[in-house]
Amino acid sequence: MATEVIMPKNGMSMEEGKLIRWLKEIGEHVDKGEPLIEIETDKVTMEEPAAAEGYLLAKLASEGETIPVLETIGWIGAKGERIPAAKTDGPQAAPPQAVPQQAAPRQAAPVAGTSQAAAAAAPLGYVPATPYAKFLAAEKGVSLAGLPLDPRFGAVTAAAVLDAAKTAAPFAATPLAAKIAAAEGAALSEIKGSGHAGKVTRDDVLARASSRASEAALKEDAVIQMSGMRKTIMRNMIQAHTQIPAVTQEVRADVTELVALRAKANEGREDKFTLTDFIVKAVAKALRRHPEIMVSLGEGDAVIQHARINIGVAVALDEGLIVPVVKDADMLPLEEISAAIRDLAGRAREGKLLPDEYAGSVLTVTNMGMFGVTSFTPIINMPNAAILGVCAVEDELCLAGGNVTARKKMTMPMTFDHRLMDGAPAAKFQGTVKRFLENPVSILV
Amino acid sequence: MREITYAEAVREAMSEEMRRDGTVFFMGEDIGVYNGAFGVSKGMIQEFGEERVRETPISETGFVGAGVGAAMMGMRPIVELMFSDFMAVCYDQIINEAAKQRFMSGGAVKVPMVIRTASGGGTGAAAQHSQSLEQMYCHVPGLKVVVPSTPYDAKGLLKSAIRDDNCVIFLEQKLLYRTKGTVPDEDYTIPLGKADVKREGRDLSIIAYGRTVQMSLAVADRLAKEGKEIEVIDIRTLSPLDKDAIIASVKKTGKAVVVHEAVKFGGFGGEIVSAIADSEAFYRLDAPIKRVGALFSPIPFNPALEKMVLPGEERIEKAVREII
Repeated sequence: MATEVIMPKNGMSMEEGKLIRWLKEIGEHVDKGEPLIEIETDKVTMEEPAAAEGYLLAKLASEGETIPVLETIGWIGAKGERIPAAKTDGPQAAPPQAVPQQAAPRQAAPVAGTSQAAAAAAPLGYVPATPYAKFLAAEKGVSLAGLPLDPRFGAVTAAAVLDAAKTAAPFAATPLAAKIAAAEGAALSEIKGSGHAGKVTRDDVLARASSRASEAALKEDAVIQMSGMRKTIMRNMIQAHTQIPAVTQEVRADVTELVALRAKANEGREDKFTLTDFIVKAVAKALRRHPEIMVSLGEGDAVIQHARINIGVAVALDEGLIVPVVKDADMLPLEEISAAIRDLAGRAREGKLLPDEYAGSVLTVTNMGMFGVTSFTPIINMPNAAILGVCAVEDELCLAGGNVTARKKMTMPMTFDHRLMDGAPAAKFQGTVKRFLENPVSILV
Repeated sequence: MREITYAEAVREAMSEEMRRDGTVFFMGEDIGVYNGAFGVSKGMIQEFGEERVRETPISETGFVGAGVGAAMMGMRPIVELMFSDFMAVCYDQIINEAAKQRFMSGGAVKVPMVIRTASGGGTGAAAQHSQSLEQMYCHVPGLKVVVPSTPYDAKGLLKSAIRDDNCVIFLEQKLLYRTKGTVPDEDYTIPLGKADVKREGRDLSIIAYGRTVQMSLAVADRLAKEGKEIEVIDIRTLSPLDKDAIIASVKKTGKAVVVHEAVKFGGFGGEIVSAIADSEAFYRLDAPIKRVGALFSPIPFNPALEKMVLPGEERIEKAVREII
């Protein structure tokens, strides 16, 4: 039994509403409560959910039309269900667009001269379009629905998509989102944007892609080609894991004061200092005192002693991991370290890092604390001789002067290359980092 | 640069290769004092003598087979078949011997033979002397197939064909023999398997070979006056096929018309279309791919009917206009 789609009465004073756009195509499935139309009333734009589950059978009102409240503007029902005859006493619009006049879109083609709207000629939900038109539509975030058909082919062509992209950007998307969508073959028009004014963002596209991927994965196993980044990580990890006699030793630091200092420093700040910023600064200072940590394996029996304190900071991306480098971290004030990490990590996520921005580190810091990790054994980022892991801050009860007190503790596992250094110097370096963190003012002065 | 005819270009290629390499010799019907049915070998018997310009009886199976044997024994024969239609009587020699020996002997022998032959219609020579049968040889691994469209290409490609260690079927369209084009004096070759962009454009790609390249260029000139820029790709070698050039062009223009003189149904154009459809160019297609070729009919003797059956500029233009 078909259900009406009506212009809702949202508020006592509302008498009519403007249909901004349909969020579903005819023939598309819609869940109860899923946004179906976008309407505008008294300068407020809102999405209106579907009143029932089913397939959108008909659109009786077109986009841009102003309609009295409670009037029927469409129908939801079972697939192929015929919509009931006119029921409202309001003026029934022209025959519903749902019923295709001909069986196949190709047959609609010879009606040359007039540029038909795709939705009018297409059977339920399907818009005939050339491969390039589809590609451009996905890339530019343009919906094919409603675009004029080229009467010669009975299909939307690239020119119509380009025109539509020029005149309006109804499915606004960030350039990055559009790029990812094009690469994933996802239609932006089918993705609900969460950004400003409904703009489709990178996360929306990825969420959609991953939800699709998980749907597919549930059904059957899939063989997926590794991305270039994945392959690089695989190579590097195997190399590091098989070539380096690695030792991981953990030091646990009391960061009660550091956490307090950070909170204080961040008061009223827009760009907050992260714990990583403080740790990178502390590591940089500690490295100055322990140059024996800043080494890497040279040719033959040689060891390279590094001069510049360039610290790699591991950044997790959806597709993998990348380690941008904060150059000369020992000479930068905390403020600049923070800005550098924010800039590098941001551009790493957008894939805009330059090659020399992730090369030349002498030690890597990898913080897993934000994921609640309390212990792990990082793998060395070659050619570094050591990698310092950072774990989550945990509340712990401690004895201080015979009294039990609550302290904040954080584990820092460091993996080092036993070919290049031994446990004692590594432990001394870790001890220095720990002391800096436990007396955080010393980091800043 | 000097201008010579297509027939002269073919003769120059043969003569130069025969001067360069003593193992190259020439064999066929009426190629001596009669100068060949199309005047291609004029003067050659005088220069090279009867040993290296060997006249044969009307016995295609016999002398193509002799060519295969000579090639296996270290010679580089150029065998001329007066009309490509006659290849039908020596299919076994071409398909089962020339194309196979190198493979079946594990490379112990090879068949570096060129079969040159006049093909195509437009001369009122009727159904048994006007066919375009190139697609039949493209289907046989071991054969290379070349259909040049200009004197320059004919000379450069024939020299490469003579120097190639495989059997090369070299099809010269009769109506091209008298066309003229610039050809340099110095020695040059054109690699087999390389297409040539005869005209650059951004709006539509015509992929053609042989005589239809000239027709396509004329159509492109006409449409250029309307501001439509057509790219004309001359594939030159059908096998091996330069798919990359075709795909690159269609990726740029998004539209393709495939043209040849051979019968459209079952013609080589289908292979070109599939190369496009089965590539990344598919996603750039903005119109159906059109094919232009001869109608599905034996070539009529009646000149008016022959004209109707063979593709011409009008049919190419019509196909282009349908999708541009």
